[in-house]
Amino acid sequence: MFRNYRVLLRTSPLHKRSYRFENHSCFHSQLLRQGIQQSNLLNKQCTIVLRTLSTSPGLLQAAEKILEESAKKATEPVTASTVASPVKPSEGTSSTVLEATTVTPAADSSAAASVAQPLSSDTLIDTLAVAVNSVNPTLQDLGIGKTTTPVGWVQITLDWLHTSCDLPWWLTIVICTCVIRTVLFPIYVKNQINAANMSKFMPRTQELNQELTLARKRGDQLEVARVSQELHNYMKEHGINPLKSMLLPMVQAPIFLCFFLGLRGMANAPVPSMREGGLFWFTDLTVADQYYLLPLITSATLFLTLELGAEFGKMQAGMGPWMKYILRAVPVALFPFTLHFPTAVCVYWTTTNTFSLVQVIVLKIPGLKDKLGIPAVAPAAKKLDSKKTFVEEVKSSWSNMKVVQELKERERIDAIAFARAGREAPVKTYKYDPTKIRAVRAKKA
Amino acid sequence: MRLYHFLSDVKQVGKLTKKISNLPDSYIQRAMEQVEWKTPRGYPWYQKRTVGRKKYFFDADRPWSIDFKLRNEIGKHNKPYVLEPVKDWSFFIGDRVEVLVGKDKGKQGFVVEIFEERNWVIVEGLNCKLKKQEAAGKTFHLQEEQPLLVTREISHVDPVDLKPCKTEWRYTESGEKVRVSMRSGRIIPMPKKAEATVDYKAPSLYIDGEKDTPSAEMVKITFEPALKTFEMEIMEEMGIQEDRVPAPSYWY
Repeated sequence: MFRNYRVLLRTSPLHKRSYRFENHSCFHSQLLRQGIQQSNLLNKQCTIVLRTLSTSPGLLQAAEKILEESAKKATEPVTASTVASPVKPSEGTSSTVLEATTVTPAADSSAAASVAQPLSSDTLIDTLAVAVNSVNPTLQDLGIGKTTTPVGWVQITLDWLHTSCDLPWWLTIVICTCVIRTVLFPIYVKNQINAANMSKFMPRTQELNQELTLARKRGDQLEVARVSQELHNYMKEHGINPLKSMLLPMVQAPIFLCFFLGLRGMANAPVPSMREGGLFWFTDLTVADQYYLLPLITSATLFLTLELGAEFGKMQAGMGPWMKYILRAVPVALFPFTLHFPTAVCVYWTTTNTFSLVQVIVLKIPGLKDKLGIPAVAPAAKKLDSKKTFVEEVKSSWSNMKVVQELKERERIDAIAFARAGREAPVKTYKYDPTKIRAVRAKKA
Repeated sequence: MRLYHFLSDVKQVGKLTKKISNLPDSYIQRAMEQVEWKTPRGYPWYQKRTVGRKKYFFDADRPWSIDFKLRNEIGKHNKPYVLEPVKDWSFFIGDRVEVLVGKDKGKQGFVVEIFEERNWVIVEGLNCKLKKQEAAGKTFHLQEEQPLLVTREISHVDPVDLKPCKTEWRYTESGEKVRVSMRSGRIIPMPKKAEATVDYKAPSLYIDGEKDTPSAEMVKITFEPALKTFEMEIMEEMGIQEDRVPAPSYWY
């Protein structure tokens, strides 16, 4: 399914020695050349068979050219023929088989042949290279896989794995993802250790944070400075660093982005072999999943991971109840976006989410955490103002934001009013209150 | 008792002090009083008699503070001071003022603190004195602002030319009481900082505490008028049926 072409270099009719160049996105003409030279030295018959599954005008043209050349120089012992016939009629895909044979007369003196043959085989190989590359262009031909960008490196790595290990595209993506996630596992463990530590000291940190918020809302700068200093000291004393818990996302996010952009670029280019690099219902990796199954699986696994509390679960105590709702809404909000992503991206996403899920489930096995040195998570601290409902929470945080904004403005509002009082026209003022009725006395006669 | 004795009691705790502290009068009174002996209250056979300090010495210590208490202990004598009565207080926190005396004469600054009981204000960063302090075996020298008298030592600044000016309280057309520069006739705006208390920067910015009733809850009318006495209402709530027949009564 995933084999787009196959080049066979038969050095004998019995196929005793054959060089196979399969599915390389780049035609390895140098290797082929070496093989032919070797066969020439051995004075053996050499057949190059190129088989592709897709009919390509480029390849047919190339074959015709070779035929013309061989017709012109009849003396050259090169025969080439093109056959356009379905390999497996059941699959319904037609194939082009180009067979070029260099025949070396064994009895003749090898001097003439050795002069003629490298030339002829060179021409043949070059033509073949052009033909194959037109069918199976390199990443660079497609304008992707730049060596200067991380996205390009990801693409090159994926392509290398696909071609050199002869793996279908879906397996390439899955393996690559799993390898990277496994490499990141120690960071994940470290993150978990930090999260557990943080949860241990969460009640006090939370209390101080609450105090800090209140002081800020009151506009009490002195108190703000005092509490933040206390918080800083407390965190330093117990080795709590919020940046530590950001380490995993900070490493994971660029990798995710590179894979996402890389795979999207490859699917949009598109890399021709990706068209048949899928599995089950998603055979074409370059288009979106027509049944929306992969996006659904992506969202479902993400939801489960968040619910089981992988990266964020430990932090929920400090985040407030609304954070839980937001985390739950993330997979739902993502679903419409993932619908139109190429299947290749979805395959990557599903794999990485499943890996996260497996990580979480595996770490739930009792005893394993102790072995990895992850301390037990302290029970989540009780929220300081848990009486509030979600709507009340949102409302109060909105009004608090307004208060803080107003406090900021008050810092300069007095100076503005004073300057305006001096600039603008004087306002009429009275010695008495003009809004109040005064007793009017009649003049004495 | 001297005839002018009432003058000495004129200056008690200032209104602004109370406003800024946001403390109830009863608390301030209770915290500052120095009573030697008191007759029991609530018994008609005792006359209302209190023996204790009547005249307090005020300075930069707030009346409810421990320093104030120590300074005003019974039997303690403090150096008397003369106070010029100020009829309409016109200096508030956040006001731009010019210092008229001392080494910072001619400099302008902002009022940061008010001691109404002594007619004092503190102007931010001006009229400072070096103060030596020792803590943990180290000596520090602190610049500390000294109070300035509102009657003589500071003046408002005219917003037009930024020069010191005399002010008076006048009314705008809408009946608002404002301070007006007597030279240029311009209104000196009341600083927003003046409405701050220890609990909030402005009444609108007050954050409800744990024990505060939300204002929405406060204005809710929960009383339902009914033609019942208090006892009748309680009885109804408890499910008590009144089946007693009142004894006949006769009027002659």
